[in-house]
Amino acid sequence: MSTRDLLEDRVAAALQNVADATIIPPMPVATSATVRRRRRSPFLVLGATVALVAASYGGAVAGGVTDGPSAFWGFNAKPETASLLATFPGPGVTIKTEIAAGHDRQQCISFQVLPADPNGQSTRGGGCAQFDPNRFGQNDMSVCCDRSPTGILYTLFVRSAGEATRATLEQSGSARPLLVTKGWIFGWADSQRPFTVTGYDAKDAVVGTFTGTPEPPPTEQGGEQTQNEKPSGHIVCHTPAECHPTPKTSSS
Amino acid sequence: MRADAASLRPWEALYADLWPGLVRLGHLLSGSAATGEDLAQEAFLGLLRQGSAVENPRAYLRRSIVNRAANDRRRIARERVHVMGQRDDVTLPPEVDETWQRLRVLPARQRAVLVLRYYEDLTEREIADVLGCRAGTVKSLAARALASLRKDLDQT
Repeated sequence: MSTRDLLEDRVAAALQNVADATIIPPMPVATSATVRRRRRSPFLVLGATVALVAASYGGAVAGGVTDGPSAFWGFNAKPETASLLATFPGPGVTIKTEIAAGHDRQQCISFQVLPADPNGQSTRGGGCAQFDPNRFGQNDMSVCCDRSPTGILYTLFVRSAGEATRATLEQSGSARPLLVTKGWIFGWADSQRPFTVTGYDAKDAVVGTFTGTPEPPPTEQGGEQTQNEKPSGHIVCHTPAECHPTPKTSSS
Repeated sequence: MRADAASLRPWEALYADLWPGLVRLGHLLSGSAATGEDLAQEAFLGLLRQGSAVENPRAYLRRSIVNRAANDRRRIARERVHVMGQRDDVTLPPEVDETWQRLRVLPARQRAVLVLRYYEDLTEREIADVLGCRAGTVKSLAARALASLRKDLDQT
């Protein structure tokens, strides 16, 4: 038996051992009795998507989303602890964000894009980290990139507000206000242009600024891509073309 | 788009059939059982969105998990400060664990090739289809992965 054969056997044995040792969690079931406690069922999420999109289309986003199942699913979060942070307008879409406890003392933030079209798909993104919400501009939680109905490739972000009570985003010579609530700044920006966010305190004094750099269009190979090198989350893609881009011929 | 109970039944059967294997595959590819579960769930959600357009759900799910695992590893690399020191949640014999720890840190595509070859028992051609590359690339990735493992294990 060659050295390679031995190594291959060792690899196969290790993989089989790990697979055998994997504790298979019970299959999530989205019955009415378990909706609140079970997590990460695709059926549950699909139902949530339908409900949330319907709420959005009916103009009842602010009231409707609070009662819906959590957007946390597929992330390292505990959806049963999720609470609504905010809903805010994106580029032609409505964004819902939640916060939930994560594992290992992390906190998780989700984004859920609620398209105006009730037949459109709702995309989600998010990530988990250990946050310190007391310092302005810290704790970047951003997801990139998704396309708005008007074709803008945009990034969503949440940053800690610190002492800021309002904030503005400047990009391409124009400025617009951002949502500041519950100690967080929420916003979106064109992913392909630099932007600057400035925070102001209650006396309108500048608390601080942070900048965002252009993100390359999502071109990663395979799968449901939309991440780039900077953000800590992802948005699930919309279309088969986005999910399955033309594979690269080179490899890592 | 509404998914009523009747239309979900075939999906539920498929889900029940494939769920354990896909969680294991996700675990092997991501290095974490919890992440493996997440990957499997995300893959099923993607399948639900694709609906009947998917001819081979098993192949779709496998490919989806492989790609998601690669993306997830890039995200985790960016969040390294938060995941340093994390250990997997399985207990293994020492030699197996040593090999597993080396496998866990291989580049995503190298690792995917080994998992698909030695756990899923796929051929080079089938692995190439999953990864969206040429069979020659699969052979190259496997050779590099094994060489890296051999070097690491020889040093211990």
